[in-house]
Parts: sequence; C-alpha cells; structure tokens
Amino acid sequence: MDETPVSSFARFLPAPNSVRAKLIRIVLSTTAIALIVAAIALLTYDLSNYRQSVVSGLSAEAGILALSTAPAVAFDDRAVALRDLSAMQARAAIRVAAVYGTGGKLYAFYARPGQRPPPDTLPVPRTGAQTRGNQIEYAQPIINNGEMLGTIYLRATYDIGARVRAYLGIFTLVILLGMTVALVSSMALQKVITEPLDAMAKVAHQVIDRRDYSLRAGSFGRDEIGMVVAAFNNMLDEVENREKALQATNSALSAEIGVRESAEAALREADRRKDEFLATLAHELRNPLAPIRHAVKILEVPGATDQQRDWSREVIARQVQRMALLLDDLLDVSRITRGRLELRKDYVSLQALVAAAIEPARPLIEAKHHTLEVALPSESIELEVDPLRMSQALSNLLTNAAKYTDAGGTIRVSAALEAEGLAIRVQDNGIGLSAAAMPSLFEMFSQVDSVIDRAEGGLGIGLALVKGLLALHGGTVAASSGGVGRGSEFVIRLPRSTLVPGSLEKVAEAATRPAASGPRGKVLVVDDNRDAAETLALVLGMFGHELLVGHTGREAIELGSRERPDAIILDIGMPDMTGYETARRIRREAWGRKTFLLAITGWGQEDDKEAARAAGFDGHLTKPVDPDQVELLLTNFLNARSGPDGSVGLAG
Amino acid sequence: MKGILVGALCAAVFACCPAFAADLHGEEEVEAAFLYRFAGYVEWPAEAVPSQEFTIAVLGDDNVVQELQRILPQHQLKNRPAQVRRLRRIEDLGDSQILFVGPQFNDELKSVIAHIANRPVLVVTSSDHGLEEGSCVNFLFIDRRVRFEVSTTAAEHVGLRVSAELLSVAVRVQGDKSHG
Repeated sequence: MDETPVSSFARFLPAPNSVRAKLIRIVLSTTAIALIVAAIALLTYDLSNYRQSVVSGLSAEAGILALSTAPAVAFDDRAVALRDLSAMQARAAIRVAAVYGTGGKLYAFYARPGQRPPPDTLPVPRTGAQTRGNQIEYAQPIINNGEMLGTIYLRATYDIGARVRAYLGIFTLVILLGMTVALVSSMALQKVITEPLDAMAKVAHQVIDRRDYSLRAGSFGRDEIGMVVAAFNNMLDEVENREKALQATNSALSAEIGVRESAEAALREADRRKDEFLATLAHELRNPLAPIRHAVKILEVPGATDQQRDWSREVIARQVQRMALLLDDLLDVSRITRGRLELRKDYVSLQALVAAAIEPARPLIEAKHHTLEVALPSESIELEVDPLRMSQALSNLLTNAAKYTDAGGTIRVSAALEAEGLAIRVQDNGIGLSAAAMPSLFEMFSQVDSVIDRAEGGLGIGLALVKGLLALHGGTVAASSGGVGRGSEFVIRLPRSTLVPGSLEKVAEAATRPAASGPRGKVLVVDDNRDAAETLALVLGMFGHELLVGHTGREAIELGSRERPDAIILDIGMPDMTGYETARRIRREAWGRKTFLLAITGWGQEDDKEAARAAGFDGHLTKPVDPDQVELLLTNFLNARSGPDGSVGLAG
Repeated sequence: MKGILVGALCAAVFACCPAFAADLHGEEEVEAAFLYRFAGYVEWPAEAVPSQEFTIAVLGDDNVVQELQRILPQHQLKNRPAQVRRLRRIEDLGDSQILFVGPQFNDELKSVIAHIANRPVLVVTSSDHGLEEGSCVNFLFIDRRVRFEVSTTAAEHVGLRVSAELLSVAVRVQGDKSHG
C-alpha cells in the first residue's frame, strides 16, 4: 500500500523483473492484503461494539459513582460529592460527571477544563444513554437502601470519526511494521527458491558467454526447483555430449577435407605431370623422325656412297630402336599401373640376367665412351624371377646411368648377397641427384630435367617402371647420391624368396657355358610385311640361328611341316589367315606340338595375350619387335629344352 | 491543572447551592432523613435486630417523630418494615435499634446514655457535647446546615460498626480510626 518503505530498501533489492523481486512483491502484497482484511474486520467489529462498550463502560463508571456519592448525597455533603466526582479525572473519556438531586436539580459536578458545564436540570431521562454529536450522555439513579437519592450524569467522548482515524493510524503502523517484518523475513526465506534459480541462471549465462558446456549448477534437493535444476544439468550433459560429438565430427571432417585436399593436390600434380609427359612424349616420338627422314632421303639418292648408306641405315636402326624402347616402357608402365602386367617367372642366372640387361644399354654406353665395370659374386646365383622384366629394370638403370653421366664416365654394376636377399647396385660418377629430386624420383613422369641435355630425351617413366617391376617381384629399388655432380647409386633389392635354394651348383655349372655360345636353333619368321620379316630374320640370323622367312599363314604351315623349325615367330594380322588360326593349325600338327611359338601384335593388350595363349602361343611380343628380346626368349627356350629337366615354356 | 480543577469545583458548589436548599424543610426534616439513612451505614449484631420490625425511638423531639412517621412507611430498613417509637422517658426504649435524643433532654444525656449501658443501640444526639456525653452520632449546625460527628469508640463500645462511607461524610470522627 505505502511504497515509501519499500523504495528505501530499493538498493538492496534485485532488478524489478527478477524472480526475487517478484517473490518479494508477492509476499508484501499478500501480507498487505491479509493485514488490510484483518484491519477492516477488526474496525467493523469494533465500531459495531463501540457504543455498547462505551455505554457499558459508562454504566460501570456511573454505578461506581452512584455508590461512592450515595453517602454524600444522603447526608447532603456536597464537598464529599465533589471529591467523589473528581475521581473521574482519571477517566480520560469522561468529560463531565455530575450529581442531580431527586428533583432533577444539579447538585454537584465535575467538568474537564474547557468542557461545557452540565445544565442545571437533568437533560436526559433518569436512566439510559443518549448520543449527542460526538459525545454520549449517560444517566443512572443513585439508590441507597432502596431510597432514590438522585441521579449520576456522565458525559463522555463518543467520536466515531476520531476512533476510525485512530484505528487507521494504528493499522497503518501495524501494516508497515508487518510488511517490514515480512520483507526482511522474505529476503531471508526466498533464498530457498531464488538460490537454485540464481545458480542456474548464472551457469546459463556462463554457458552462453563462454560456450563452456562442462559447467553445472549445484544440487538443490528433490523439490520441484531441485528437479528443474537437475533437469537443467542433465540438459547440459546432453548438450556437452552433442558438442563433443559435433567437434569430433568436425575434426573428422576437416581431417577428411585435408586428406581430400592433399589428394586433390596430388591429382593436380599428377595431371600436371601427365601434361608435361604428353608434351615430352610428343617430343620424344617426333625426335627420331627427323634423322630417319634424313637417312631415308640419303638412301633414296642414287649417288650415295656405301659409307653414306651404311650410316643412314645405322641412324634408322638406332632411332627405331629408341622409339621401340620408348613405347615398350610406356606400355609396361601402363600395364603396371593398371595391374595388368603378369610375371612369367623362370629360373635364370644372375650372370645371364646382367648380361641381358647390359646388352640394350651398350650402344649408349659405347657412344658416350663410358667405362663399364661389372663385379658379380664368384659363386653362381640362380634367381626365380621374370627374366625379361628383371633385365628390363636393370637395363633401365644402366641406361639412366649412361644418360646422366658426362662422356667418359664410369659405370659400375655390382651384386652381393645380403641378409634380406640379393642387392644389385648400379653406380655412376655422373650428375648425381639433388635432395629435392629424391622424393618424387620413382614417380611416374618425373624426370631430372634442366640440368641435362634435352637430346638425351626420355619420358621420365624409366624409374617408375623399375619400381613397379621390382614391386611385382616383392623387391625394392632405392636411390642415393652425394649431391648434384657427385654421381648416384641405385640399388635393386630382391627378397630371399627369389633366390633358388640349392641351385647354386647347378647354375654355376650352367654358367660355365657362355651365354653367347648357347644352343642355336632353326627359327621361322612369318610376317606379311616383308621388310619386318626380313629385318627380324636378318638380326636373328646374326645371333647365329638358322632363319627361315614366310609371308602368309599357309606358307608358315608348309615351311613348318617341311623344315620342322625349333621356333616360329608369327605375325597376328596376316591376310590369308590370322596368326591365331595359324598357331592353332600348327599345334594340331604332330611336328608343331613342341615348337616354340611367338606371337607379334601391334597392341600389347591383355586380351591379345589371352587370345595368343588360347591359340597355343608360348609367348607374345609387341611391335616393333626387339630382336634382343626375341633372342633372349629363344635362348631361354633352347636352353630349357636342352637342359636336364626337359621342356619349359617361356613367355614375354 | 489542580488550580483549574479546584476552581471548577468551587464554581459547581456555588452554582448548586440554591438548588439543594429548596429541598430543605427545616432541621427536623433533615434530622429525620439522616436518622433513617444512618441505618444503612451501621451494622448491628445479628441478635440485636428483631425479625419483625426495625425501630427508631425518639426521645423528646416531636417534630422529628412526625417526620419519621411520614417517611418510614415508605421505606424498609435492613429489609424490615421500619417504625418510629415516641418515648416519654428512656425506660420506654425497648428493643429499638436507633435512639434519637432531642435537645430537650440534653441536660439528662448522661443518665439517658447510662441507662442504655451496653445495649446495641445507636444513640444519636443533638448537643454541643454529645460525643463527650457518650453518644455515637451527634448532629451539629454549621452554616445553617445539618452536619454530624461520629464516635466510633462509643459505637464499638455497644457492638456497632459504623461504615467508612458514613465516616467519610462526618464532620468529625472520634475514635481509633479518627481522621479529623
């Protein structure tokens, strides 16, 4: 009701909208309402009883006065009567007290100062009360021993308005006091409710501000508020768990993004390399064409000398060889990359392997006047590998060494048995390798460029091919270098599983026969391209074999049945019948069952190989045919056939 | 405060004087009224009050007798019918409870009171030396008004008890509990 005492507490109170302020308002208003209702009830009751209580009070006073003044009246002692009346001085409400005689005449009276004296005759009936304005008059007879001696007259205040005002003042004080007490006690008691809420609100604010979901409000019993706090804490648990899960997901996602980004970068790098590679490829394929064209022109000139013609042929042969190697490497890398390369494992001596590897690299080594040192273990070592692929890998390393070493350098090939298996080292004193080049050295399309003469060429796939081939054998290849200009060393490591146990003596025995003076045989070359057939026959003839040449499938069968060759090399695409058909027919002949059949196709695809195998071919070659490879296959076949353990099929 | 109060009381007294004076019809009437009123303020021994009537005896003053004869039939004293007995001589007293000795017998007061001896009779006199002669209550005339003095010694001597209310309006009280 009265806001003043409340506002004086204002600085101790919380914000007007807080629960605490609301609780205080509730307590104060409840208290005020209760007190006001009580006050109204009390006032109503009091006013309704006021007159009665005043009258009964006056009656009692008058009775006492009647008794006490009776002797004085009885014996006519006015002084004593006055003395008795003046006792009313102690009764604040009584303003006038008087004694009237039996005749109604005023006998004696007492009046408070400032009060109107009573009239001379009794103004009221001899008994009873009568209100007049804000005063009440009361009369009562004085009776002594049954004798009526006179009348007591009293005049008292009867001011309902003043009484109401007095009550209102008292009520105001009581209500203010009650509300103050209620305020103070509610400030203390409300903590039961506001403390959990405060704690919860504080935690909620901190959670919002700091994003720290590990905060918790304390425990506050098991009432509704305690349950709300507990539910709030449980909710925070849930939020915290979800936050953690979200963070885990986020970090997983960012890790995945990182992986994808690096994968993308790798893809871009690969793409870039591929672009470079394509440019290089075009360049490399085009390079040999100019010298070939020139050589052909020289050959076409009628007046060319023999020396010039020889030179032209050499140029053509060298460039073709180079292109063929290039394309072979390309195809092989492609196969390895797609996992389509299959190894044709066989037993081969380390010496034969190294010799076969040196052969293709020899022209370049000699051209640059390098010194080649070969240091192999004295004991004979036999390996179970794909001889063609292993010699190809080793040959790549040798070619590289020759290529990246200035003219007149030294190249050293060495092999040694180690704990893990066999290690073959190719060392040079060439341009070496920079540390920066090391990581991507064995990746496809990488190439040590800018330092070398572009004329050396290369597609940058040689080392990738080596690595892939070694991986197929379960082996590794590693490079090391003292730095740029300090030469390099490549090490091929073959696992122990590729070493043929207990075969050392046997291989050693076999190794006593020089590879070059191995068994020679009768070979039939069939190709509808006369040049191709003639040149291949010419080259193979130089290796010491007896050569026959045919140009159709029919011719192949005829020559085969008549001459009974050890081996037949068949072109697949022939006009009268395909190489496959020819091979099938040969295999049906009695003489052809053990003949070594080699297919020559323009494509090195796997299904071509499958078709060749299905048709009965022992091996498969891709155009342009490398005579050295054919020689290797032939040698191996003839060696195997003449060996103690009978016939063994070889393939490429 | 006190002064104002006293002033108010004095004013009241003087204002009232003529009004009360109109009630007075002479000494005998007042004395008769006082006589029977005394009965209400005095206690007699139980055996001294007969069950039939309460008797006031008057020796000498016929005016008082007449007044009492007028008043008493209207009143009861000590819950009994009251009667007045006119005496010619003290020997006629009988079992009266109050004896008023008129001024005519003032010279014989000693013998009259001696006659009563120890009997429980309230002796009321109207003499200058009433109490000294041995009466219990003695009328006085002060400022032409009837007042009285009380001897509690004499009353107690005959086994009567005078109430303090009566003493409070007495002009003089003679006895142990005298207050002036």
